[in-house]
Parts: sequence; structure tokens; C-alpha cells
Amino acid sequence: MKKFMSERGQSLVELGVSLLILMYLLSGAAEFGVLFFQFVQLRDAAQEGALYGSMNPWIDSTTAPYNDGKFEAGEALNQAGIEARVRAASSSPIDLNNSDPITGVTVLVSSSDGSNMLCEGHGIQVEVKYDHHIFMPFIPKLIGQTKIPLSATVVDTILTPLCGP
Amino acid sequence: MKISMPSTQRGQALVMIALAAIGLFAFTALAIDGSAIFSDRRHAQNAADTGVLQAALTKVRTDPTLPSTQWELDGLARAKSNGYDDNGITNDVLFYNPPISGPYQGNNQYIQVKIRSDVKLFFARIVGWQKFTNNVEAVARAATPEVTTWYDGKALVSVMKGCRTPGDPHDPFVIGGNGTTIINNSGIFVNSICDPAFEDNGNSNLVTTSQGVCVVGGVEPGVNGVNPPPDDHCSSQIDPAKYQLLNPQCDTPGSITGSGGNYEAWPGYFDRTGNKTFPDVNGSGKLKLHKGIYCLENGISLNGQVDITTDLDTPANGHDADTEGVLLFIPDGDVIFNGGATVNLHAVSSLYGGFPERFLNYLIYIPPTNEANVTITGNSGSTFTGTILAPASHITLDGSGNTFSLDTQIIGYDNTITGSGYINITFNQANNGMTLTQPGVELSQ
Repeated sequence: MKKFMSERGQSLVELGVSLLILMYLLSGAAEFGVLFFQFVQLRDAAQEGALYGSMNPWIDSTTAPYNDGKFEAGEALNQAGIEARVRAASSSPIDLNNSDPITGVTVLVSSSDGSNMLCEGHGIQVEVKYDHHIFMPFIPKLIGQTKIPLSATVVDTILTPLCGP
Repeated sequence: MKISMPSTQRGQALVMIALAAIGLFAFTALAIDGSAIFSDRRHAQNAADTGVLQAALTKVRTDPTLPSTQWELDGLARAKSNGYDDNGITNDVLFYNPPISGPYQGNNQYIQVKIRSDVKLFFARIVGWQKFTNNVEAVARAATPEVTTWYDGKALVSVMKGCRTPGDPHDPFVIGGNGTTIINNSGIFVNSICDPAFEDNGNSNLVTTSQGVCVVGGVEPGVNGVNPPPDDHCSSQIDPAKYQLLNPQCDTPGSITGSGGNYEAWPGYFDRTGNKTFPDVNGSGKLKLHKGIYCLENGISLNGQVDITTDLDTPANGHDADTEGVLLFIPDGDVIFNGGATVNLHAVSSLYGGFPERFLNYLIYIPPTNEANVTITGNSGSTFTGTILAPASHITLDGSGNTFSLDTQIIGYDNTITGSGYINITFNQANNGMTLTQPGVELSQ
């Protein structure tokens, strides 16, 4: 019986096997890291929007007597202004200006308590959503989905305007 | 010579890679877990900031005389809406009024919130770290309204903060003519930072005050006849926005009845019909004003033909606190009392009959939306009692004739004293209106 005594190629085999496992683990860590980085970006943007919204939550009516600097029931939410603030918050790693419904970022602004009272003491809620597309190979097959939905929600206290009559 | 290997190298790379992997994972753990810690810290700080602002807002909007912890509940609700629900396990949210630590410790005007948040770690668990605890805090000032005098009880106040603009004839405070003005129990305050903010255009006028003249800006060189001399750069500016203004409502029409020289008026609004100015009565005579609030939507112009009084008795017997007195609210138009008319006006000084407390002792109120000209010309038989609050108006006190007496605090955008007669202002705070400071909320720490 012939006995193989040579250790030639041993390291290569070990490296190959180890790298396979290592790369798989590292890819997961990298994916997770990017995912987390994106979540932090979304939450920062939501905070920026909520902070802006706490000072500019509504659009004052142009019709007298409702154009008095106070919020009256029925006056509109400053959706566009707040959303613009969110989208301008940053551009990396996600392009927040991308509003494509499939690949982009969705910004939802609302009154936090559902009362639609956009005045002092009430809350304004900003939710920023994005679907993270998994870029590492094999992971989608492992977890059974190609994207991971991310959502960051921040509620701030509205500081101005005063509530009208 | 044959070299013998001390041992096999089988598995050597595996060991090295394993060691490298541990190092690699350690750095990954540091990056991801560290980010998680800082992200949670920032989110917790945001929750603390907005939570303490919510608590402060509720506190200043709640009647301070009522015991209430609603501010704390509202603050907790706001923190909860940001994910910090005070569950005692992963996070605590605690509010304090007054703060228990820091530079505002013990100060009841401040509210402090402390949030403890445990962050679950992902990779650091490998080395035994299950969690990291973030502790954040925020402090907000919740200044509740306080009853106060207007501008420290100075009898004559110019609110204007800057200088007049080109083409505007109104300087912050001007004394002219050659009359004599005496202010007892009080003084003059000029809020303008202009240099000069206090000017003397007169020849031999005299101004004597018992509490001096405080000018935030400068005093024109050569001012004389003012005793004691004006104190320039005497204090910091007072922000007019710190005081709460009045908000009288006039829902019912007023009326004037009478003829043949005897007229009576009842409170309510007097509108612009016919472009009239109050009192629109024919001929001459006396007009008695019944107790209440008069909304004069086209100002008031009193000529020498009609005397006006709040003393309803015949013969006149002075002010009856329960049943007499008026507040003239002038949302538009000017205010002119010329020297020919005898004016005896007293502000309402009693709550009798349900008169609103916040309007007590105010005689004339011209809101900031009406940049009126207010001219009060002296008459020896005239008396004015109560605050004249006109923060956007141009005030002229004309001391023509004999001694002209006022027990009033006059607050205007700018003031001019002129004429050749005597103006005697005796300030008595009990006969003048008080106000409330504005509630305020600010993030302090």
C-alpha cells in the first residue's frame, strides 16, 4: 500500500475551504453592514424632516380670515416642504432623491396622533421607506427573498404655529 | 544530512486563517456594533429633545394654578412614539421638574428628561458583550406666564427698537415746544438703540421726572431742561414680544342716543358706516359713556364741541368703580382729542358685572396692526385715568393751555411732547393695567 507523505498543496486546500466559509460569512457581514448603514441614513433623513416639520408643519391658507398665522382645521399639511427636506438630507449610500416606487425612497408625512392637528403641542410623523436589494450572491436563496424592506420613523413635537380657534 | 521535520504542517493555514478571521470579525463587530450604539444614542437624544419640548409645551399651556402631571404624561407619550416606552427593561424615561442635576438643578422653570437605553449588540456577543447602555438627557425651559407691569411701570414708553426710516418724521422720543412736563412716581423709557434716541427740539422746555429717563440708545448732545438728565445706554432693550397683548372682541353693535346736547353711548362696535369717526353726534354738548368696551373701527376724533365723560352721575361725582369706566379699542383710524373738548375718561377698574379681568385699567388699546396717530391736547378740565396701550402708534402730547393731568401709562411706538402748557402725569400702578409675560419654550441643554 502506497502511503502519501507529501504535504504539497495542503495549504492551498485548507485556504480554499476556509476562504469559502470565510467569504460567505464576510459577505453576510458586509451585507448587514451596508443594510445598517442605509437604515442609519434613512433615520437621519427622517429626523431631519421631522425637525423641519416641527417648525413648518402646515401651509397657511391664503384666504382671510384663515391666513392669520394660526392653524385652522382643514389647512394643508406641508408634505412637499418636509419631503424635500428629507430628500435633501443626504445622497449616499442611498440616493434619497430617487422617488421611483420600485427602486427609490418613499417619504410619508402625517399627523402622529391621527388628529390632523398640525399645530403646537401635537406630533408630526415622518416615515422614510426603502427596499434594500441584496447584492451578495447566495444570500437571496438562503433567506428566500431578494430585498429587505427598511423603514425609519421619527415623531417630533410641533412647536409652531399656534392652534387656531 | 537528512533534515527531519519536527512536526507536520498539516492544518497550519487553517489556524492562521482562523486567527485572521477572528481579527476580521472583531473589526466588523466594532464597526457594526459601534454604529448601532451611536445610532441609538442619536435616536435617543432626538427622543429626549422632542419629549422634553412636548412636556414643556404642555406645562406652559396648562393653568399653572392647577396641580397637574399631564406634562409628564405627554412627554412620556412623545418618547414612546419614538420607540422609548419606559418599559424598565430595555429603556427608562424619567422626567424631572425641577431638574435634579446640571446647571438648571432646582430651577422650577426647567424640565429635565433622562433616557437610558440598552442597545443589543450583534457581534460583540462573541466576546461576551451582550448590550451597551446609552444614557442621554435634555433640558427645556418652560416659562409659564407671569403677571407683570408694562416696561417696569414707566409712565411714558417708546417701544421703537431701531431708528426712524428715511422719510418717516417720527423719532423715538422728542421733546419740543416750551412747556413743562412733570412725571410723578415714575419716569420715561426709550427702547430705541438709535443714537440719538432722545432728542430735544424745544427752546425752553422743562421735563421733570421722579424716576429719571432711561434711554437704551444715545441722548442728543445739548439736551437741557430735563431733570434728572437722561441716562443714555441705561439698560438692555426690552423685547415688546415678551408681553401679552389684549384681544378684545366686539360682537354687538354699540349705540348713541340723545339730542339737544345730551347724549349717551353704550358699548359695542361702531363701524365705518358713512365713514364716521366716533362720536358722530350733531351739534355740541356732553356725551356720557356707559361702562364697557367700545370698538371704534374708524378711530375717534373729539373736537371742541362735545365733552365726553365716563362719569354717569349728575352732577358729576367722580369715578364709581363698579358701574363706570370704559376701554376704547381702536382697531383702525386715529385718536384725536383736541384742546377744546373736556375729556374725563376712566378705565374700568372693577370686575363687577362680569367685566374681564385682563382688560382692567386699560383706557385705550390700539393694536399693533393700527399705526395710528394719537394726539392728546391738554385742557385744564380733562383727566385721563388708565393705561393707553398703542405699541405701533405715534403719540403726541400737546401741553397747550393750563395744567393737563393724567394718571396713565402711555406706551407708544414713538412719543413727542410739545406745546407751551403744563402736562402733569402722576403714575399710579393701581390705576393702570397689568399684563402677562408670554409663555416660552426652549431647548436649553
